[in-house]
Amino acid sequence: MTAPLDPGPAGDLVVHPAEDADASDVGLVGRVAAGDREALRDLYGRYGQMLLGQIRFVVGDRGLSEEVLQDTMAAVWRGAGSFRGEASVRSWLIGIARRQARDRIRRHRLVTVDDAVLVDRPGGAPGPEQVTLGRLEVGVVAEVIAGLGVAHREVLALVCASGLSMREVAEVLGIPAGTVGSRLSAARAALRASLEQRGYRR
Amino acid sequence: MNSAAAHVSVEELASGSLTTAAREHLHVCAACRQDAHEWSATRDAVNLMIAELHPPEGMIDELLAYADRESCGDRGGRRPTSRLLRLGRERWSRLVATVAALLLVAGGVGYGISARGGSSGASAIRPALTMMTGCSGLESVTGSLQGIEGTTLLIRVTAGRTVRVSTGPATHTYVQQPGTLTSIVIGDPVIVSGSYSDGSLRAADVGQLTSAPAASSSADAAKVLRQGQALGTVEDLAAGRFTVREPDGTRVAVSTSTATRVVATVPVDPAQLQLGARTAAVGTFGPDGTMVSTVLDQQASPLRLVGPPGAPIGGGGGGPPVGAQRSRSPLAGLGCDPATVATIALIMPA
Repeated sequence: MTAPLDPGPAGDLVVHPAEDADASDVGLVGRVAAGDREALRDLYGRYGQMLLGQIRFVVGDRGLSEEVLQDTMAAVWRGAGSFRGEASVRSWLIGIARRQARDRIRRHRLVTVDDAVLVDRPGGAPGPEQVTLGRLEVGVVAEVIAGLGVAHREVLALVCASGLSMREVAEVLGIPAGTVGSRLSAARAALRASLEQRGYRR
Repeated sequence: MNSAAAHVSVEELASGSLTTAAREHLHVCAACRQDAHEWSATRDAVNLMIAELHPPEGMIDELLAYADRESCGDRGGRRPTSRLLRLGRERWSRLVATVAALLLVAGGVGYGISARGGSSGASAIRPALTMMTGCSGLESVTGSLQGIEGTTLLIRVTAGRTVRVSTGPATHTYVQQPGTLTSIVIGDPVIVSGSYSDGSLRAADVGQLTSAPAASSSADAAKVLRQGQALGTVEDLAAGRFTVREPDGTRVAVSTSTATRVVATVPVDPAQLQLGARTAAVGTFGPDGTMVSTVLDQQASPLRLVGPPGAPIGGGGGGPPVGAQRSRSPLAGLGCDPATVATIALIMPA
Protein backbone atom coordinates (compact mmCIF):
# COMPACT_ATOMS: atom_id res chain seq x y z
CA MET A 1 0.00 0.00 0.00
CA THR A 2 2.66 2.43 0.93
CA ALA A 3 5.62 0.72 -0.68
CA PRO A 4 8.24 3.13 -1.87
CA LEU A 5 8.88 3.69 -5.51
CA ASP A 6 11.90 1.72 -6.58
CA PRO A 7 14.34 3.02 -9.13
CA GLY A 8 14.38 0.70 -12.12
CA PRO A 9 17.43 -0.51 -13.98
CA ALA A 10 17.54 2.57 -16.11
CA GLY A 11 16.73 4.86 -13.29
CA ASP A 12 13.06 4.94 -14.17
CA LEU A 13 10.57 4.58 -11.43
CA VAL A 14 8.99 1.16 -11.15
CA VAL A 15 5.56 1.26 -9.66
CA HIS A 16 4.70 -1.67 -7.45
CA PRO A 17 1.56 -3.59 -8.33
CA ALA A 18 0.09 -2.43 -5.05
CA GLU A 19 0.48 1.10 -6.20
CA ASP A 20 -1.25 0.24 -9.43
CA ALA A 21 -4.11 -1.04 -7.35
CA ASP A 22 -4.05 2.11 -5.27
CA ALA A 23 -4.25 4.29 -8.33
CA SER A 24 -7.05 2.17 -9.69
CA ASP A 25 -8.87 2.36 -6.37
CA VAL A 26 -8.56 6.11 -6.22
CA GLY A 27 -9.96 6.36 -9.71
CA LEU A 28 -12.81 4.12 -8.71
CA VAL A 29 -13.69 6.26 -5.73
CA GLY A 30 -13.55 9.32 -7.93
CA ARG A 31 -16.04 7.75 -10.27
CA VAL A 32 -18.26 6.83 -7.35
CA ALA A 33 -18.12 10.44 -6.22
CA ALA A 34 -19.28 11.42 -9.69
CA GLY A 35 -22.27 9.14 -9.37
CA ASP A 36 -20.96 6.20 -11.39
CA ARG A 37 -22.99 3.20 -10.26
CA GLU A 38 -20.79 0.67 -11.96
CA ALA A 39 -17.86 2.06 -10.01
CA LEU A 40 -19.71 1.42 -6.78
CA ARG A 41 -20.40 -2.13 -7.90
CA ASP A 42 -16.75 -2.57 -8.81
CA LEU A 43 -15.68 -1.27 -5.44
CA TYR A 44 -18.08 -3.65 -3.74
CA GLY A 45 -16.82 -6.52 -5.83
CA ARG A 46 -13.25 -5.66 -5.00
CA TYR A 47 -13.60 -5.03 -1.29
CA GLY A 48 -16.97 -6.43 -0.25
CA GLN A 49 -15.67 -9.65 1.18
CA MET A 50 -12.76 -8.06 2.97
CA LEU A 51 -15.04 -5.43 4.48
CA LEU A 52 -17.60 -8.02 5.47
CA GLY A 53 -14.84 -9.95 7.20
CA GLN A 54 -13.59 -6.93 9.09
CA ILE A 55 -17.12 -6.03 10.13
CA ARG A 56 -17.90 -9.59 11.17
CA PHE A 57 -14.92 -9.60 13.46
CA VAL A 58 -16.24 -6.49 15.17
CA VAL A 59 -19.95 -7.17 15.47
CA GLY A 60 -19.76 -10.95 15.62
CA ASP A 61 -23.19 -11.56 14.18
CA ARG A 62 -23.58 -12.68 10.59
CA GLY A 63 -26.81 -10.91 9.75
CA LEU A 64 -25.85 -7.72 11.48
CA SER A 65 -22.52 -7.76 9.66
CA GLU A 66 -24.32 -7.66 6.34
CA GLU A 67 -26.45 -4.78 7.50
CA VAL A 68 -23.36 -2.88 8.56
CA LEU A 69 -21.74 -3.67 5.22
CA GLN A 70 -24.76 -2.15 3.54
CA ASP A 71 -24.52 0.90 5.75
CA THR A 72 -20.87 1.13 4.83
CA MET A 73 -21.54 1.03 1.11
CA ALA A 74 -24.30 3.59 1.54
CA ALA A 75 -21.84 5.84 3.34
CA VAL A 76 -19.33 5.33 0.54
CA TRP A 77 -21.95 6.24 -2.05
CA ARG A 78 -22.86 9.38 -0.17
CA GLY A 79 -19.39 10.34 0.96
CA ALA A 80 -17.02 9.36 -1.83
CA GLY A 81 -16.56 13.02 -2.61
CA SER A 82 -14.93 13.52 0.75
CA PHE A 83 -12.12 11.10 -0.03
CA ARG A 84 -8.96 13.15 -0.21
CA GLY A 85 -6.43 10.45 -0.87
CA GLU A 86 -4.65 11.02 2.40
CA ALA A 87 -5.08 7.35 3.20
CA SER A 88 -5.32 4.38 0.90
CA VAL A 89 -8.77 3.52 -0.35
CA ARG A 90 -8.56 0.23 1.50
CA SER A 91 -7.81 2.01 4.75
CA TRP A 92 -10.52 4.58 4.11
CA LEU A 93 -13.11 1.88 3.48
CA ILE A 94 -12.12 -0.09 6.56
CA GLY A 95 -12.30 3.08 8.61
CA ILE A 96 -15.84 3.70 7.43
CA ALA A 97 -16.83 0.10 8.07
CA ARG A 98 -15.34 0.19 11.54
CA ARG A 99 -17.20 3.37 12.43
CA GLN A 100 -20.43 1.89 11.19
CA ALA A 101 -19.84 -1.30 13.13
CA ARG A 102 -18.85 0.48 16.31
CA ASP A 103 -21.76 2.83 16.00
CA ARG A 104 -24.10 -0.10 15.63
CA ILE A 105 -22.68 -1.76 18.69
CA ARG A 106 -22.98 1.45 20.67
CA ARG A 107 -26.55 2.07 19.68
CA HIS A 108 -27.76 -1.42 20.23
CA ARG A 109 -26.76 -4.06 22.56
CA LEU A 110 -26.51 -7.18 20.50
CA VAL A 111 -29.37 -9.27 21.66
CA THR A 112 -29.76 -12.01 19.14
CA VAL A 113 -27.77 -15.17 19.06
CA ASP A 114 -26.09 -16.07 15.85
CA ASP A 115 -26.56 -19.56 14.55
CA ALA A 116 -22.88 -20.15 14.38
CA VAL A 117 -22.55 -19.20 18.01
CA LEU A 118 -25.15 -21.73 18.98
CA VAL A 119 -23.51 -24.41 16.93
CA ASP A 120 -20.04 -23.59 18.02
CA ARG A 121 -20.76 -22.91 21.64
CA PRO A 122 -18.26 -25.03 23.58
CA GLY A 123 -19.83 -27.93 25.33
CA GLY A 124 -18.84 -29.37 28.65
CA ALA A 125 -16.70 -32.06 27.15
CA PRO A 126 -12.97 -31.71 27.56
CA GLY A 127 -10.97 -30.53 24.60
CA PRO A 128 -8.31 -32.51 22.80
CA GLU A 129 -5.90 -33.94 25.30
CA GLN A 130 -2.49 -32.45 25.50
CA VAL A 131 -2.41 -31.18 21.99
CA THR A 132 0.38 -28.73 21.61
CA LEU A 133 -0.16 -25.25 20.36
CA GLY A 134 2.32 -26.05 17.67
CA ARG A 135 -0.15 -28.47 16.12
CA LEU A 136 -3.14 -26.25 16.23
CA GLU A 137 -5.98 -26.96 13.94
CA VAL A 138 -7.13 -23.90 12.07
CA GLY A 139 -10.74 -24.69 12.71
CA VAL A 140 -10.19 -24.81 16.44
CA VAL A 141 -8.36 -21.52 16.39
CA ALA A 142 -11.17 -19.98 14.40
CA GLU A 143 -13.68 -21.12 16.97
CA VAL A 144 -11.66 -19.63 19.77
CA ILE A 145 -11.09 -16.37 17.93
CA ALA A 146 -14.84 -16.01 17.49
CA GLY A 147 -15.16 -16.12 21.26
CA LEU A 148 -12.64 -13.38 21.98
CA GLY A 149 -13.56 -9.84 22.90
CA VAL A 150 -14.30 -7.29 20.22
CA ALA A 151 -11.04 -5.37 20.62
CA HIS A 152 -9.02 -8.56 20.29
CA ARG A 153 -10.95 -9.86 17.30
CA GLU A 154 -10.70 -6.50 15.63
CA VAL A 155 -6.95 -6.14 15.89
CA LEU A 156 -6.43 -9.70 14.72
CA ALA A 157 -8.60 -9.14 11.66
CA LEU A 158 -6.89 -5.89 10.83
CA VAL A 159 -3.36 -7.18 11.21
CA CYS A 160 -3.88 -10.64 9.77
CA ALA A 161 -6.33 -10.07 6.96
CA SER A 162 -6.90 -6.46 6.00
CA GLY A 163 -3.82 -5.86 3.94
CA LEU A 164 -3.10 -2.70 5.88
CA SER A 165 0.32 -1.70 7.12
CA MET A 166 0.86 -1.39 10.85
CA ARG A 167 0.75 2.36 10.54
CA GLU A 168 -2.57 2.14 8.77
CA VAL A 169 -3.90 -0.29 11.34
CA ALA A 170 -2.96 2.19 14.04
CA GLU A 171 -4.72 4.99 12.16
CA VAL A 172 -7.85 2.95 11.68
CA LEU A 173 -7.92 2.02 15.33
CA GLY A 174 -7.04 5.54 16.37
CA ILE A 175 -4.21 4.41 18.61
CA PRO A 176 -0.45 4.96 18.61
CA ALA A 177 1.47 2.54 16.43
CA GLY A 178 3.19 1.06 19.46
CA THR A 179 -0.13 0.24 21.03
CA VAL A 180 -1.01 -2.05 18.14
CA GLY A 181 1.70 -4.41 19.31
CA SER A 182 0.50 -4.47 22.89
CA ARG A 183 -3.06 -5.04 21.74
CA LEU A 184 -1.88 -7.87 19.54
CA SER A 185 -0.04 -9.39 22.47
CA ALA A 186 -3.15 -9.15 24.60
CA ALA A 187 -5.22 -10.78 21.87
CA ARG A 188 -2.70 -13.56 21.54
CA ALA A 189 -2.65 -14.10 25.30
CA ALA A 190 -6.44 -14.31 25.37
CA LEU A 191 -6.38 -16.71 22.45
CA ARG A 192 -3.81 -18.88 24.14
CA ALA A 193 -5.72 -18.90 27.42
CA SER A 194 -8.86 -20.03 25.63
CA LEU A 195 -6.99 -22.74 23.81
CA GLU A 196 -5.44 -23.97 27.02
CA GLN A 197 -8.90 -24.15 28.56
CA ARG A 198 -9.74 -26.52 25.75
CA GLY A 199 -6.83 -28.72 26.58
CA TYR A 200 -4.22 -27.31 24.28
CA ARG A 201 -0.93 -26.50 25.86
CA ARG A 202 2.20 -24.91 24.72
CA MET B 1 3.90 -11.84 25.28
CA ASN B 2 6.99 -13.94 25.88
CA SER B 3 10.65 -13.91 25.38
CA ALA B 4 10.30 -14.38 21.67
CA ALA B 5 8.65 -11.01 21.39
CA ALA B 6 11.90 -9.45 22.36
CA HIS B 7 13.56 -11.14 19.44
CA VAL B 8 11.01 -10.67 16.71
CA SER B 9 8.36 -8.02 17.08
CA VAL B 10 4.82 -9.16 17.61
CA GLU B 11 3.77 -6.97 14.71
CA GLU B 12 6.06 -8.89 12.40
CA LEU B 13 4.95 -12.23 13.73
CA ALA B 14 1.27 -11.35 13.54
CA SER B 15 1.36 -9.91 10.07
CA GLY B 16 3.79 -12.49 8.75
CA SER B 17 5.80 -9.72 7.16
CA LEU B 18 9.19 -10.67 8.48
CA THR B 19 12.30 -8.71 7.79
CA THR B 20 15.38 -10.54 6.62
CA ALA B 21 16.89 -10.13 10.08
CA ALA B 22 13.81 -11.62 11.67
CA ARG B 23 13.88 -14.60 9.33
CA GLU B 24 17.48 -15.25 10.15
CA HIS B 25 16.70 -14.97 13.83
CA LEU B 26 14.06 -17.66 13.57
CA HIS B 27 16.76 -20.13 12.58
CA VAL B 28 18.44 -19.77 15.92
CA CYS B 29 15.49 -19.11 18.22
CA ALA B 30 13.21 -22.07 18.93
CA ALA B 31 10.83 -19.97 21.01
CA CYS B 32 10.51 -17.51 18.17
CA ARG B 33 9.79 -20.31 15.71
CA GLN B 34 7.08 -21.59 18.02
CA ASP B 35 5.60 -18.11 18.22
CA ALA B 36 5.79 -17.71 14.48
CA HIS B 37 4.02 -21.02 14.03
CA GLU B 38 1.23 -20.02 16.37
CA TRP B 39 0.78 -16.71 14.64
CA SER B 40 0.71 -18.49 11.32
CA ALA B 41 -2.12 -20.69 12.58
CA THR B 42 -3.91 -17.58 13.83
CA ARG B 43 -3.57 -15.84 10.48
CA ASP B 44 -4.80 -18.94 8.69
CA ALA B 45 -7.80 -19.08 11.00
CA VAL B 46 -8.66 -15.42 10.50
CA ASN B 47 -8.36 -15.70 6.75
CA LEU B 48 -10.38 -18.90 6.74
CA MET B 49 -13.15 -17.19 8.66
CA ILE B 50 -13.22 -14.32 6.20
CA ALA B 51 -12.98 -16.56 3.16
CA GLU B 52 -16.17 -18.26 4.23
CA LEU B 53 -18.07 -14.99 4.15
CA HIS B 54 -19.83 -13.93 1.01
CA PRO B 55 -21.13 -10.41 0.50
CA PRO B 56 -24.77 -10.56 -0.54
CA GLU B 57 -25.35 -10.28 -4.24
CA GLY B 58 -27.67 -7.54 -5.31
CA MET B 59 -26.95 -5.38 -2.29
CA ILE B 60 -25.66 -2.50 -4.39
CA ASP B 61 -28.62 -2.62 -6.76
CA GLU B 62 -31.02 -2.43 -3.85
CA LEU B 63 -28.99 0.32 -2.29
CA LEU B 64 -29.04 2.38 -5.47
CA ALA B 65 -32.74 1.77 -5.96
CA TYR B 66 -33.34 3.07 -2.48
CA ALA B 67 -31.15 6.08 -3.16
CA ASP B 68 -33.20 6.76 -6.29
CA ARG B 69 -36.41 6.67 -4.34
CA GLU B 70 -34.96 9.02 -1.79
CA SER B 71 -33.77 11.44 -4.42
CA CYS B 72 -37.28 11.45 -5.86
CA GLY B 73 -38.58 12.54 -2.51
CA ASP B 74 -40.06 9.18 -1.68
CA ARG B 75 -38.85 8.68 1.83
CA GLY B 76 -41.59 6.32 2.78
CA GLY B 77 -40.00 3.32 1.18
CA ARG B 78 -38.47 0.61 3.19
CA ARG B 79 -34.77 0.76 3.41
CA PRO B 80 -33.30 -2.36 1.90
CA THR B 81 -31.54 -4.80 4.11
CA SER B 82 -29.03 -7.30 3.08
CA ARG B 83 -30.86 -10.00 4.92
CA LEU B 84 -33.90 -9.42 2.83
CA LEU B 85 -31.76 -9.51 -0.23
CA ARG B 86 -30.48 -12.85 0.84
CA LEU B 87 -33.98 -14.18 0.71
CA GLY B 88 -33.82 -13.78 -3.02
CA ARG B 89 -35.79 -11.55 -5.25
CA GLU B 90 -38.34 -14.13 -6.17
CA ARG B 91 -39.05 -15.04 -2.62
CA TRP B 92 -39.18 -11.46 -1.50
CA SER B 93 -41.50 -10.52 -4.31
CA ARG B 94 -43.75 -13.40 -3.52
CA LEU B 95 -43.82 -12.50 0.12
CA VAL B 96 -44.65 -8.91 -0.56
CA ALA B 97 -47.16 -9.69 -3.25
CA THR B 98 -49.06 -12.26 -1.34
CA VAL B 99 -49.35 -10.97 2.14
CA ALA B 100 -47.36 -8.01 3.25
CA ALA B 101 -48.58 -5.71 0.52
CA LEU B 102 -52.12 -6.62 1.26
CA LEU B 103 -51.79 -6.05 4.91
CA LEU B 104 -49.94 -2.80 4.56
CA VAL B 105 -53.06 -1.14 3.26
CA ALA B 106 -55.72 -3.33 4.69
CA GLY B 107 -57.71 -2.16 7.60
CA GLY B 108 -54.91 -0.19 9.09
CA VAL B 109 -53.13 -3.33 10.10
CA GLY B 110 -49.94 -2.14 8.51
CA TYR B 111 -47.65 -5.10 8.33
CA GLY B 112 -44.15 -4.57 7.16
CA ILE B 113 -40.78 -6.03 7.48
CA SER B 114 -38.55 -4.41 10.02
CA ALA B 115 -35.81 -3.01 7.89
CA ARG B 116 -33.41 -2.48 10.69
CA GLY B 117 -33.45 -2.59 14.38
CA GLY B 118 -34.13 0.44 16.41
CA SER B 119 -34.45 2.87 13.56
CA SER B 120 -37.00 4.72 15.54
CA GLY B 121 -34.71 5.04 18.45
CA ALA B 122 -36.13 2.14 20.37
CA SER B 123 -33.74 0.78 22.89
CA ALA B 124 -34.03 -2.77 21.70
CA ILE B 125 -32.84 -4.02 18.39
CA ARG B 126 -35.49 -5.78 16.40
CA PRO B 127 -34.30 -8.68 14.36
CA ALA B 128 -34.82 -8.42 10.66
CA LEU B 129 -37.93 -10.14 9.47
CA THR B 130 -39.71 -8.99 12.55
CA MET B 131 -43.16 -8.02 11.46
CA MET B 132 -44.39 -4.73 12.70
CA THR B 133 -48.09 -5.20 12.94
CA GLY B 134 -49.05 -1.59 13.21
CA CYS B 135 -50.69 -2.45 16.49
CA SER B 136 -49.17 -0.75 19.46
CA GLY B 137 -46.87 -3.05 21.35
CA LEU B 138 -47.36 -5.96 19.02
CA GLU B 139 -44.62 -7.50 16.95
CA SER B 140 -44.07 -10.91 15.51
CA VAL B 141 -41.22 -13.19 14.63
CA THR B 142 -41.51 -16.40 12.70
CA GLY B 143 -39.03 -19.18 12.25
CA SER B 144 -37.93 -22.59 13.30
CA LEU B 145 -38.07 -23.50 16.96
CA GLN B 146 -34.48 -24.32 17.77
CA GLY B 147 -34.51 -24.82 21.48
CA ILE B 148 -36.31 -24.39 24.76
CA GLU B 149 -34.37 -23.16 27.76
CA GLY B 150 -36.75 -23.22 30.68
CA THR B 151 -39.41 -20.68 29.83
CA THR B 152 -37.42 -19.20 26.97
CA LEU B 153 -37.70 -20.32 23.37
CA LEU B 154 -35.06 -19.89 20.73
CA ILE B 155 -36.64 -19.21 17.37
CA ARG B 156 -34.43 -19.08 14.33
CA VAL B 157 -35.96 -16.63 11.95
CA THR B 158 -35.81 -17.15 8.25
CA ALA B 159 -32.74 -15.05 7.88
CA GLY B 160 -30.74 -17.33 10.11
CA ARG B 161 -30.92 -15.18 13.21
CA THR B 162 -32.05 -16.67 16.47
CA VAL B 163 -34.36 -14.69 18.68
CA ARG B 164 -35.06 -15.34 22.34
CA VAL B 165 -38.72 -15.46 23.24
CA SER B 166 -39.81 -15.55 26.84
CA THR B 167 -43.06 -17.15 27.87
CA GLY B 168 -45.16 -16.71 30.97
CA PRO B 169 -48.57 -17.35 32.42
CA ALA B 170 -50.09 -14.84 30.02
CA THR B 171 -48.72 -16.60 26.97
CA HIS B 172 -51.26 -18.46 24.87
CA THR B 173 -49.84 -21.34 22.91
CA TYR B 174 -51.46 -22.84 19.83
CA VAL B 175 -50.68 -25.39 17.21
CA GLN B 176 -52.04 -25.39 13.69
CA GLN B 177 -52.91 -28.97 12.96
CA PRO B 178 -55.09 -30.90 10.54
CA GLY B 179 -58.80 -30.57 11.21
CA THR B 180 -61.96 -31.81 9.57
CA LEU B 181 -64.81 -30.12 7.80
CA THR B 182 -67.17 -31.52 10.37
CA SER B 183 -65.38 -29.56 13.06
CA ILE B 184 -66.42 -26.27 11.47
CA VAL B 185 -69.46 -24.75 13.11
CA ILE B 186 -71.47 -21.59 12.61
CA GLY B 187 -69.71 -18.61 14.05
CA ASP B 188 -66.22 -20.02 13.59
CA PRO B 189 -63.68 -17.42 12.50
CA VAL B 190 -62.00 -18.78 9.38
CA ILE B 191 -59.74 -17.88 6.53
CA VAL B 192 -60.50 -19.62 3.26
CA SER B 193 -58.16 -19.97 0.35
CA GLY B 194 -59.16 -21.33 -3.02
CA SER B 195 -60.50 -20.31 -6.41
CA TYR B 196 -63.81 -19.06 -7.71
CA SER B 197 -65.94 -21.48 -9.63
CA ASP B 198 -69.63 -21.35 -10.43
CA GLY B 199 -70.19 -18.32 -8.28
CA SER B 200 -68.59 -19.56 -5.13
CA LEU B 201 -65.18 -19.79 -3.60
CA ARG B 202 -64.08 -23.39 -3.99
CA ALA B 203 -62.06 -23.96 -0.86
CA ALA B 204 -58.66 -25.53 -1.11
CA ASP B 205 -57.75 -24.66 2.45
CA VAL B 206 -59.85 -23.59 5.39
CA GLY B 207 -58.03 -22.28 8.41
CA GLN B 208 -59.88 -22.08 11.68
CA LEU B 209 -58.79 -19.02 13.61
CA THR B 210 -58.98 -18.38 17.32
CA SER B 211 -61.00 -15.19 17.12
CA ALA B 212 -63.13 -13.30 14.69
CA PRO B 213 -61.49 -10.59 12.63
CA ALA B 214 -62.32 -7.06 13.63
CA ALA B 215 -64.31 -4.70 11.47
CA SER B 216 -62.28 -2.23 9.50
CA SER B 217 -63.04 1.24 8.34
CA SER B 218 -60.08 1.63 6.03
CA ALA B 219 -61.04 2.90 2.60
CA ASP B 220 -57.62 1.91 1.35
CA ALA B 221 -58.56 -1.68 1.73
CA ALA B 222 -60.64 -1.40 -1.41
CA LYS B 223 -57.40 -1.10 -3.35
CA VAL B 224 -56.36 -4.55 -2.44
CA LEU B 225 -59.32 -6.54 -3.58
CA ARG B 226 -57.98 -10.00 -3.87
CA GLN B 227 -59.72 -13.02 -5.15
CA GLY B 228 -59.26 -16.51 -3.91
CA GLN B 229 -59.46 -15.72 -0.24
CA ALA B 230 -62.07 -14.95 2.33
CA LEU B 231 -61.73 -14.03 5.97
CA GLY B 232 -64.60 -13.83 8.36
CA THR B 233 -67.04 -15.92 10.32
CA VAL B 234 -68.96 -18.96 9.18
CA GLU B 235 -72.68 -18.66 8.42
CA ASP B 236 -75.25 -20.83 6.72
CA LEU B 237 -73.38 -24.03 7.20
CA ALA B 238 -74.52 -27.01 5.17
CA ALA B 239 -73.02 -30.12 3.64
CA GLY B 240 -70.45 -29.11 1.06
CA ARG B 241 -70.87 -25.40 1.55
CA PHE B 242 -70.96 -22.51 3.95
CA THR B 243 -70.89 -18.76 3.82
CA VAL B 244 -68.18 -16.51 5.14
CA ARG B 245 -69.34 -13.16 6.43
CA GLU B 246 -66.44 -10.75 6.18
CA PRO B 247 -65.89 -7.83 8.55
CA ASP B 248 -67.42 -5.35 6.10
CA GLY B 249 -70.56 -7.43 5.77
CA THR B 250 -69.67 -9.04 2.48
CA ARG B 251 -70.93 -12.59 2.31
CA VAL B 252 -68.87 -15.06 0.32
CA ALA B 253 -70.28 -18.43 -0.66
CA VAL B 254 -67.78 -21.19 -0.10
CA SER B 255 -67.96 -24.72 -1.47
CA THR B 256 -66.00 -27.57 0.00
CA SER B 257 -65.08 -31.01 -1.18
CA THR B 258 -63.14 -34.01 -0.04
CA ALA B 259 -60.06 -32.24 -1.36
CA THR B 260 -60.53 -29.33 1.01
CA ARG B 261 -57.95 -29.24 3.74
CA VAL B 262 -58.87 -27.94 7.13
CA VAL B 263 -56.28 -26.54 9.47
CA ALA B 264 -57.39 -25.96 13.01
CA THR B 265 -55.70 -23.65 15.49
CA VAL B 266 -55.92 -25.42 18.81
CA PRO B 267 -54.56 -24.44 22.21
CA VAL B 268 -51.77 -26.61 23.57
CA ASP B 269 -49.37 -26.64 26.45
CA PRO B 270 -46.02 -25.01 25.60
CA ALA B 271 -44.34 -28.32 26.39
CA GLN B 272 -46.07 -29.78 23.36
CA LEU B 273 -44.25 -27.51 20.94
CA GLN B 274 -41.99 -29.44 18.60
CA LEU B 275 -38.39 -28.52 17.98
CA GLY B 276 -37.70 -27.72 14.37
CA ALA B 277 -41.27 -26.80 13.55
CA ARG B 278 -42.17 -23.44 12.09
CA THR B 279 -43.24 -21.23 14.94
CA ALA B 280 -44.56 -17.71 15.27
CA ALA B 281 -44.31 -15.59 18.37
CA VAL B 282 -46.28 -12.41 18.89
CA GLY B 283 -45.54 -10.00 21.67
CA THR B 284 -43.29 -7.10 22.50
CA PHE B 285 -39.54 -6.74 22.65
CA GLY B 286 -38.07 -5.94 26.02
CA PRO B 287 -35.11 -3.64 26.50
CA ASP B 288 -32.72 -6.58 26.32
CA GLY B 289 -34.14 -7.62 22.96
CA THR B 290 -35.95 -10.67 24.24
CA MET B 291 -39.50 -10.91 23.00
CA VAL B 292 -42.05 -11.21 25.78
CA SER B 293 -44.63 -13.34 24.06
CA THR B 294 -48.38 -13.06 24.19
CA VAL B 295 -49.04 -15.81 21.70
CA LEU B 296 -47.05 -18.71 20.35
CA ASP B 297 -48.32 -20.55 17.33
CA GLN B 298 -46.73 -23.54 15.71
CA GLN B 299 -47.41 -25.04 12.35
CA ALA B 300 -47.90 -28.77 12.38
CA SER B 301 -49.84 -28.68 9.13
CA PRO B 302 -49.04 -25.86 6.73
CA LEU B 303 -52.00 -23.77 5.71
CA ARG B 304 -51.72 -22.25 2.28
CA LEU B 305 -52.87 -18.68 2.28
CA VAL B 306 -53.02 -18.07 -1.43
CA GLY B 307 -55.04 -19.87 -3.98
CA PRO B 308 -53.72 -21.65 -7.02
CA PRO B 309 -50.61 -20.15 -8.61
CA GLY B 310 -51.44 -17.13 -10.67
CA ALA B 311 -54.60 -16.31 -8.82
CA PRO B 312 -55.34 -12.77 -9.89
CA ILE B 313 -55.17 -9.80 -7.66
CA GLY B 314 -57.69 -7.05 -8.10
CA GLY B 315 -60.02 -8.39 -10.74
CA GLY B 316 -60.01 -10.51 -13.85
CA GLY B 317 -60.10 -14.22 -14.36
CA GLY B 318 -62.90 -16.02 -12.62
CA GLY B 319 -64.02 -13.07 -10.56
CA PRO B 320 -66.03 -13.07 -7.42
CA PRO B 321 -69.60 -14.25 -7.53
CA VAL B 322 -72.21 -11.94 -8.95
CA GLY B 323 -73.68 -9.85 -6.22
CA ALA B 324 -70.71 -10.40 -4.01
CA GLN B 325 -68.39 -7.72 -5.33
CA ARG B 326 -66.25 -7.12 -2.34
CA SER B 327 -65.27 -3.63 -1.46
CA ARG B 328 -62.15 -4.54 0.41
CA SER B 329 -59.58 -7.19 0.94
CA PRO B 330 -60.69 -10.27 2.73
CA LEU B 331 -57.81 -9.53 5.01
CA ALA B 332 -59.15 -6.11 5.84
CA GLY B 333 -59.95 -5.71 9.47
CA LEU B 334 -57.54 -8.29 10.64
CA GLY B 335 -57.19 -6.14 13.69
CA CYS B 336 -54.75 -6.57 16.49
CA ASP B 337 -55.71 -9.93 17.84
CA PRO B 338 -52.36 -11.53 18.67
CA ALA B 339 -53.50 -15.04 17.88
CA THR B 340 -54.74 -14.06 14.45
CA VAL B 341 -51.55 -12.16 13.81
CA ALA B 342 -49.59 -15.27 14.75
CA THR B 343 -51.68 -17.44 12.47
CA ILE B 344 -51.17 -15.12 9.54
CA ALA B 345 -47.49 -14.87 10.32
CA LEU B 346 -47.21 -18.62 10.03
CA ILE B 347 -49.06 -18.62 6.76
CA MET B 348 -46.66 -16.16 5.22
CA PRO B 349 -44.24 -17.89 2.87
CA ALA B 350 -41.06 -19.01 4.57
